[in-house]
Amino acid sequence: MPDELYIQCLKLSKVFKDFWMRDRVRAVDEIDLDVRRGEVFGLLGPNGSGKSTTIKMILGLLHPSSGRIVVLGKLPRDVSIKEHIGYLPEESYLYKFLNARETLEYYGKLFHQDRRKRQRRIDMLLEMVGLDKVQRRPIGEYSKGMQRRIGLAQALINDPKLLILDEPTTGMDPIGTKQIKDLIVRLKDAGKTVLLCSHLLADVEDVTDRCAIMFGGKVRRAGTIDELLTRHDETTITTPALDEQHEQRLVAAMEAAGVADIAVHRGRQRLEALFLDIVEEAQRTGLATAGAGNAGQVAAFLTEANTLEGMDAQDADGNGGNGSAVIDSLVVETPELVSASPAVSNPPPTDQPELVAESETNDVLSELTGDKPPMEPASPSSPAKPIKPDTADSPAPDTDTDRSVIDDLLK
Amino acid sequence: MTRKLPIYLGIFVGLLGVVAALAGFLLGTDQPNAAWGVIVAGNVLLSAWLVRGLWLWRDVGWVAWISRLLILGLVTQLLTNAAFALGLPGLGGVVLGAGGMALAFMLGLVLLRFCFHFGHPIFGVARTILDEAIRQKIGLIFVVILVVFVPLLPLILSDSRLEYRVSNFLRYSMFITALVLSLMTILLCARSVARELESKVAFTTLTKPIARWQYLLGKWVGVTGLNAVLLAVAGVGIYAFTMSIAQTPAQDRLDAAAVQDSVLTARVSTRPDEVSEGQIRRSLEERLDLLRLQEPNLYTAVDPATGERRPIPAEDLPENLASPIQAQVISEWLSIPPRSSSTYRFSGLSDAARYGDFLQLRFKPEARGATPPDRRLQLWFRANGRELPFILEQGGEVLESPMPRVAEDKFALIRIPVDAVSPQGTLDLEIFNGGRGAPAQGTVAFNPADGMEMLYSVGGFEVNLAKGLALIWFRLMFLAMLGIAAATFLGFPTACLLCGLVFVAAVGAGYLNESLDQYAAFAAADLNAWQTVLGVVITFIDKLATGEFWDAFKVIIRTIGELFTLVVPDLSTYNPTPLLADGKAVTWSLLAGGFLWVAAIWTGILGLVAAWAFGRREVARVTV
Repeated sequence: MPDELYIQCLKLSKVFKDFWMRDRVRAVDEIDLDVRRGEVFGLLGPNGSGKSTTIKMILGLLHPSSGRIVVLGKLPRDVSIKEHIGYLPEESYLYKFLNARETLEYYGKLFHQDRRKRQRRIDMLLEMVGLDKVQRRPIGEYSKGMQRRIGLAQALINDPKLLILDEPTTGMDPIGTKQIKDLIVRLKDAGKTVLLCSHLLADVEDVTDRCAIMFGGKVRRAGTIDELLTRHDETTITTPALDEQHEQRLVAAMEAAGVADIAVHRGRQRLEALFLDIVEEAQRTGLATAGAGNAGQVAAFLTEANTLEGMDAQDADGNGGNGSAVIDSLVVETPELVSASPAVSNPPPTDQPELVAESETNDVLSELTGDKPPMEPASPSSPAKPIKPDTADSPAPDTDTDRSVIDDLLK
Repeated sequence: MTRKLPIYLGIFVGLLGVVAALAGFLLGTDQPNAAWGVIVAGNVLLSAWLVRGLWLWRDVGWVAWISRLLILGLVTQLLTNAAFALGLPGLGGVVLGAGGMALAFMLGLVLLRFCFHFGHPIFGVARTILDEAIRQKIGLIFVVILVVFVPLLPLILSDSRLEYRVSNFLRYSMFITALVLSLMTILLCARSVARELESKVAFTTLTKPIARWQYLLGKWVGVTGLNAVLLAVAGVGIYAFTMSIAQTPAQDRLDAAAVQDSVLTARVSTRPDEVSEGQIRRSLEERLDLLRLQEPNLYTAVDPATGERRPIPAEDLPENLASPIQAQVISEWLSIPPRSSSTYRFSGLSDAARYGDFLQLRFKPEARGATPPDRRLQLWFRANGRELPFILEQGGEVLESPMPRVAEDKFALIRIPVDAVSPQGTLDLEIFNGGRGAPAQGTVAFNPADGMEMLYSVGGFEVNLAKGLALIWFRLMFLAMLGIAAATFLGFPTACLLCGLVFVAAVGAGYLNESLDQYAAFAAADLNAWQTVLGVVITFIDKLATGEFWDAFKVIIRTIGELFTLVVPDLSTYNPTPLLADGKAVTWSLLAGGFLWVAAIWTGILGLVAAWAFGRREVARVTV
């Protein structure tokens, strides 16, 4: 049942009243929101837009003024649904006097876990969030990022079906941020549903399937990331690095085909990718750090059951460690980028075979260089799909082959 | 295994050290040289363990834990031995007691943690508040106060009579224990719940599969468990020190006996039966006859059938007329005119012979009319017709004579051998006012409340102390729930204030009611609720009408006070401190009553209300 709704909000409103029962703030205003099973849903919005209030209503910490919420088929205040929910609050609301291990012990007990099960999961989670070396220190002595990590671990102790993450990456360094995004994707692959609430747009963009943008207590826009982000008035062509001569020939060919306003840019790495490269390099040379250690593999209990069909087994085992293939695929490193305007580079839809992309590349280029009329950029069937032949999942393309194709085309 | 072997070796060494140190301490009195040798060897071994344990295996949880215990043990026995070596046995006792209590506390805590290890939300919350109590210092401070003050008390007490020293130690130590634990319970519960809601730590917990009532119950279970450990520690300390004080020299033979018979025992008291039910009845009728003549309007009624005035029978008299007459009759019954005697029957004394050799008659004679110049009264006692060689004690004075002269208006104690009690368990006590050749003296009277009672032992001190501590535990259960309930809807300081107010009102309930009665008098006794309300309103209007505004205001204050005492349980009834200090039994019925009313009913009602309100409450706040 892919369309099974894990969270359903119908005309949900929350009005805070003052002492005289007059409306003071309408924090959430008749929103409709559906989170389907198995998806990563992003709830975006500036501070004070009603995101946290919505989440608190979903968790039963606040009661709706009107409207209805159904979470996992029941009302939010039903204690039984909490068995399947993991929640990471926007700040680490944890006992400062407990150490990491005791904290997880405590939350494990709240899920009726016996000692053996608790210990097994706690060991895995501490290793996963990289706190196994500092597990005996009280949480009050942890840095903010370390507190986020232990917060994340407590949210996962019950192997939740539905994970609600409120600003999961605040206070995290880019490595931690990457690990969290990595984890979200892995959890999605393992069949979990994630509701991600954030105002760090880049993070949301990288991992979510669908999202809703809130402002002033209302949902202003909602849909899949592709639907929301695709620009219908430009096309990006990505190629391996071209020398000046080839570049000019390509531009000339396109101009000959009637394309105006062509801009050519050198490919740029994202700062996040650069940062991660530097840190990885440093770690390889063995520099010590006092903070959280390297995060380990995703705890096995989170992925061992109900793994979705089609999950790449090699991905789960072979590329654990510091940077899995999945995260590499998210942090796209495009060696060369040719675009007509500031680049919009989205990850390809996961169900799109790479070969199709490649053949489409050929088609488009032949259209550009041949006599065929230029392709409608806003074609509804394939709306300006960005072309990225090299993701980490696919084998690196043979540069010579590519070059010869272009040479052929430009003759 | 390579890692474990040295650990086991270390444990062996450590235990050897402890045993050696203790053995040295025990040997100390007989063979000082051997004792010192063993003590030094034990300390060397202990220190060796500590160096290994602390520095090499500090990451192993239980090694660190044993090391902590050993440090405490080491320091305690070093200081104790030093004190004894310097010829300060008092100080040595204090240090040993404090160290012993601290050790007992640590062990009790481990036991409690073990009890809370199960994978259930209630135990999870309970375990966490336990850690909070210790690590956030709030509980720890009170533990330290307890562990330091109880051992210090014997040094402070300076009564010359051993009986009073033991009794006062019991009184103060029980009082301190009850007070310290009550304050700790209120502060800990109120703080824990209020802070968690305020700092949003509760959000993380309450989004887990734990019902709100389970969260509150978990807090209560944790604090109640901690109180049990602390009471046990205090109990062991109090017992040990009581016994050690009881070993100190007594003033005289009777003083030593009094410690055993009047303090370190569990006595029940019985008042004289209103033996001659018929006699009291007759007195009542006589008095009524007189009153009917004096005030026919009050004490007679017109018969509607015949139109004649007929006396109202005693049973039909309104309560407010009947009670004073009855009180007067009883008070007369407890008065003995000069040169005459009265007999008072005590019954249900069959148990007395099982636990002791003596019954104790405790009485306070009051002289009415002429008193001899030395303010002493000649009294003469006979038990079941036997004239016995009574031994009388009064204010530290011992009078041995069949006809002692007793100081008036002071409590006196007479020991009566148990064989004077009849096989049916009754004892008829005949008291003669005056006697052969005694100076002239007026009527001797005994206060109906406590002027004459027969005390006899029904159990030992140990069980009585345990029952007393259990009674305190029940009171703490109520206070824990009070703190938790208050903090679900109030902030920490306000919740503490409310709890403090309720605590004071509950502990002083008896006194408070009396004070309110005297503060602003209006007729409230023997009226039903509706009449009382009406009475208050009428009194208030009346005071206003006559311009007595201050009195009217006092009526309001008293009403508020009475309403408050109505919703606060009467904890003063379940206070074991005076009972233990006076060597009186904490009876099973008192214990059961304490459990039923305080621990079950009041705590239960409070808990249900708190759980109901908290379950419906929005835990989060506006953050837009």
